[in-house]
Amino acid sequence: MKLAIELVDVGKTFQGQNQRDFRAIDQLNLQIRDGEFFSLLGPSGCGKTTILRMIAGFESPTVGEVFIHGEAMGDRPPFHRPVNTVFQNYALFPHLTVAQNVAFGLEMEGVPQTHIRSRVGDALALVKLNGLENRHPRQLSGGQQQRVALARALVKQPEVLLFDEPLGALDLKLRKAMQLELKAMQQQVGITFVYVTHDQEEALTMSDRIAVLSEGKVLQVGTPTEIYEEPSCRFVADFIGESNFLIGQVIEQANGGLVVLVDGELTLSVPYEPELPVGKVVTLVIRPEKVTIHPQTHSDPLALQGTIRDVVYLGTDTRFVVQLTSKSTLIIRRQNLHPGKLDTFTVGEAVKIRVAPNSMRVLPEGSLGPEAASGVLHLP
Amino acid sequence: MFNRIQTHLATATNRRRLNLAVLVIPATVWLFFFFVLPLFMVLLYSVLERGTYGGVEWQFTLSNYERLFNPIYWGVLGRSLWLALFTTVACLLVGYPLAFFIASRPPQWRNTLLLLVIIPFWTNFLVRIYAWIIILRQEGVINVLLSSLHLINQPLDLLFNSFAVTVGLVYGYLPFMILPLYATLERFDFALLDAAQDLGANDLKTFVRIVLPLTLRGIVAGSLLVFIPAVGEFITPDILGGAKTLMMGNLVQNQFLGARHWPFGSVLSIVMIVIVLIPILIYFRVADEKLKAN
Repeated sequence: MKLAIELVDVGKTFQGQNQRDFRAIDQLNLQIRDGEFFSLLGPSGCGKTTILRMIAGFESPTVGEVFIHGEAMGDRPPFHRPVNTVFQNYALFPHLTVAQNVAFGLEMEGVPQTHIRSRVGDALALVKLNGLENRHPRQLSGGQQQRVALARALVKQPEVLLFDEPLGALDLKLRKAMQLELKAMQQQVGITFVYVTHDQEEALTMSDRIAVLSEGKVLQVGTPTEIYEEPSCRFVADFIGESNFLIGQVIEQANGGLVVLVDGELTLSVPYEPELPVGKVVTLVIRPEKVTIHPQTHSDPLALQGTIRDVVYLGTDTRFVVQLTSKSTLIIRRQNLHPGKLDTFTVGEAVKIRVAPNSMRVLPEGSLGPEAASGVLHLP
Repeated sequence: MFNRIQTHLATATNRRRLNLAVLVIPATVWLFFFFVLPLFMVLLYSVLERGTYGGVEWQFTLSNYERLFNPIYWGVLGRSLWLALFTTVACLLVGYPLAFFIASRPPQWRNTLLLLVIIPFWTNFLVRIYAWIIILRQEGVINVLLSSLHLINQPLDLLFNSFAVTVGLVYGYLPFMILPLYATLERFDFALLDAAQDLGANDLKTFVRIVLPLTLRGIVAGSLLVFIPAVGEFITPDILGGAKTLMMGNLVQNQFLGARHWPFGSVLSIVMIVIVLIPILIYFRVADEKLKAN
């Protein structure tokens, strides 16, 4: 597998005021494959933009090395790196027209004027901006400015294209449309995209692989499916999508499974291979859409007993909050597929709940990420 | 009902008009009595005969303008323009990097740094210029320092020449260059530097293609603010230039106070006004075309 970008033991420390140093990145190792759409996902301040700026050459790592296509970058300045960036607020040159903005990078390369004109035309066609060549950036809408920024980077035909939250300033509808368009464009031009975002949905929609970051560390790298279905720690489970967390203790391990006692009152069987001692505290991660809710008359021996605490209609689906034990509640999402035929539940009603054992994920508590706020959990 | 609304609207409009009038009346009165009227008097005096003890004789003549053809005055005019131009360029070369430095500091530092630029203003201009005599004269700070280090055998002639005048002018007018440059650079989006570098521009190209065009307004404004008063300077050349380094300002002063030739003094004033007007007109022409182009 050819690597587009490799970060080896990279650390970055910023010198702060009063001699207090801020360690933005710590011992980071990352491999980005050639031609993939790779997202760096994390909350603000997790260091994802710093990583991007180190790849682009705006920052140099305090320790470690950045490789681009196998070549160590060292202190090489941005203008000598085979990467281009689409900036957060586009950073278009306000005194130049759209065409001049896009042509700028080619002029810096010394491409002959005739070639520049045709390549600028191609790039603008790719982002569907033909006809706006002579406008100035301030005469364009946010979405159009975004496209100019994209064309300006694409026209250089870089080996790697870096994106620093490029869609953050757009409204929701436009953002969703651009996500799909960017993904399609990446498949069309076939260059490596490295995409920084704090929006988990955006990362899931577009990426081939995602690295989830927190406080300067990589918590998990994987495909969207892996990240969502098999989160490696509580932080990832909480940050990507919605999760229920049940805290329990192992009371038995047999036949490739665990029996877990939740809140001292409810026993659950979950498949789990690695050895865990009896008495070990574990966290069970349960996705709200993987739980089904049934009327009291339902006759499934594995069903659990619960009480409806809240019902919220959300259009595409309905969100139930169900009291499962005296300490824990469970959020359940049910798609509103055939509204007329669905059972209706009211607050206070006793219901039966079905959680498929293989849809629960066990996290040994040692892998708990930073404490994340969760309205579901009430630990003693 | 309708009538009452109409009356109300009318009074609201009138009140707005009145407010606007109140805003401009003081400036208009001031400008009329202390700018338009004196300017008109200068124009009038320039075509009248000189009075024996100052003042004018009410007799039309163009002879005052004919005197301008004397090469002596061209020399003074040339020196004024040259010194003012040199001062402007020197202020730009010193002020631009400094303004750039201040504007790129974290916001909490900028005001302090700007204050340091402005602080010298709190001392009287005359005092500050006299201080340069102490620094530049033969037994002055620089000469004493250099000879005590045995770098020179004889004291350098630093005072009462064009060099001293230029030093004084650059020193005096530097803040007028820095402040408008800072105002422009402060609004400059430094992310554009990253963008330019990312697209392959080295430092020099980034400066020439991005920074310079986007700060041109500040450069022009600062240059005008330095050049215009520098052309008409008379205190600095009077104190630091000695008798040899006359500028237009000194000439005008001489004609009115020394030679008591008010009409010729007026002619020289008009020449200066015209000289100063030319760069301003060019500036407005350029700015106008920019506006139309956008």
